[in-house]
Amino acid sequence: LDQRKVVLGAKLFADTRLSGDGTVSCATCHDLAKAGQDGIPVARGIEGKLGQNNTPTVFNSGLNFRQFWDGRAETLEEQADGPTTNPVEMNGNWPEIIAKLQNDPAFMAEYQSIWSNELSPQNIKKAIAEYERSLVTFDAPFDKYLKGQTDALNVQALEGWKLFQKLGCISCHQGVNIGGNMYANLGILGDYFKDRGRPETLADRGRFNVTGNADDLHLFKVPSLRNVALTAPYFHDGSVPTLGDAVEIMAKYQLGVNLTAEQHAAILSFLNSLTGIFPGQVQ
Amino acid sequence: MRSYIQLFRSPFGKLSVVTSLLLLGAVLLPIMIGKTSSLETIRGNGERLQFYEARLSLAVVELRHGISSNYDAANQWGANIRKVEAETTIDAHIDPMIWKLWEDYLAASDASLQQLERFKLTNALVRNSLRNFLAGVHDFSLSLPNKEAISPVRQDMARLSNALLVQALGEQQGLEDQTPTLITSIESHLTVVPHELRSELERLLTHAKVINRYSSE
Repeated sequence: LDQRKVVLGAKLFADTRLSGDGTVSCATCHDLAKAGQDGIPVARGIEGKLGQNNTPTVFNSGLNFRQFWDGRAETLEEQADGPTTNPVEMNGNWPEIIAKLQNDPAFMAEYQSIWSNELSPQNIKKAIAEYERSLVTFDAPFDKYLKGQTDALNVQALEGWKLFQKLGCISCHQGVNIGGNMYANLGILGDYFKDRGRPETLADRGRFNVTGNADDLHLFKVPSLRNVALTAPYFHDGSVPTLGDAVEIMAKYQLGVNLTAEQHAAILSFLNSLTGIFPGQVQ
Repeated sequence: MRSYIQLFRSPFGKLSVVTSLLLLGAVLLPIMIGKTSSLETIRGNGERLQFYEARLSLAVVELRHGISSNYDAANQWGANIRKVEAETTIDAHIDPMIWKLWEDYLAASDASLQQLERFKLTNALVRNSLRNFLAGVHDFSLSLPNKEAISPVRQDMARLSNALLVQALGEQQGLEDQTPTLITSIESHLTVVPHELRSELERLLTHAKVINRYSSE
């Protein structure tokens, strides 16, 4: 990572000048003190307007293969464009953002120490994305266990890790980010949306909204499970308040399993072992 | 619809042909129009793309055959391909022949990477359900009482195991109807299965249906 871009990106990430009325920044929804998200069901943007999707954590987002629940952005740079200009989120527009930043001599001096060309939306997005790539959590008990520290997981968490593999959670929640590297339908072994008992929303359609392909209905990017114990509420619409509820629903609709109380507790214990050290905590 | 196994066979094959054409064009055109410097870059990018495609194909083969179950490597090769594509700019007015080859390549590449996503999903579902089914079917069959009325269920479950394995391997030609027929037959005998074993049977059949649906897609 280019540390100069990381530093500049950190400032831009928290800069409310990127929003239309100067009240909202990326950090408003991606609060580092709240595990990189906002802790509410759906994003609250400019003038308190509500979006349709749950805010995903920004931590480890650089390890995801796509961005957004429906994967419509291939890169963090592309992602940064979405909320910034979305009328419900930050409602910014690039010419105005550029004009505001150009009037800030301190900002421009820092910018010109990195780039010799004119201030551009592309470079602003590059700096924000570079900062986001730096937001990696580490040294979760499970990471330590994988590195050979066998006592890093307690007996219950270890049982949960075995169940995680045996029941098949790992088929989708896999890779370095324990998720975030494929799409999956919500409701493989049962009709989740029918059983849920609420009318479907646009957000429920998932990747279908991007491709228009019937196979992509209810298809979502599998979320990373890193720090999942801290990122309630859950699912694309934030409709599931607790991790316990989320585990039960996933077991039933994705794996066709009704967990026993012991299995449920063990998996929760394992998921708690995925909580790492946040960026900034070691400074 | 393409079969599960075709999902990763044909698109990458097509991609390689198009990339080869692109490389050939990049080799010939400098001689024809003397624009060596920009075409050197295109040729270099073409070679990088060929390398990344080969690595992506290898990663997919490893996933398909269970040598690996982690999609990170395939994703990284796909991202590398996208990066090179984004770095390559071709002016349609200056190099119309190369531009046409490049457009064909981009279309094939886009289709391949979209199919890769479908492959990752079906691969995860089929492998997970196959593992669940095979892990449970033996104990289930042993648990069945030794009664004549149960015999068809036991036999059909054995046949179903074999059919699902063959199907998951992508070799289901001529056997497309076998799995649904067996599932229907077993379900018709559900009432003779002891009550305490029915939920396990239903679980196994659900996984059988997943394998049948996604491996023959």
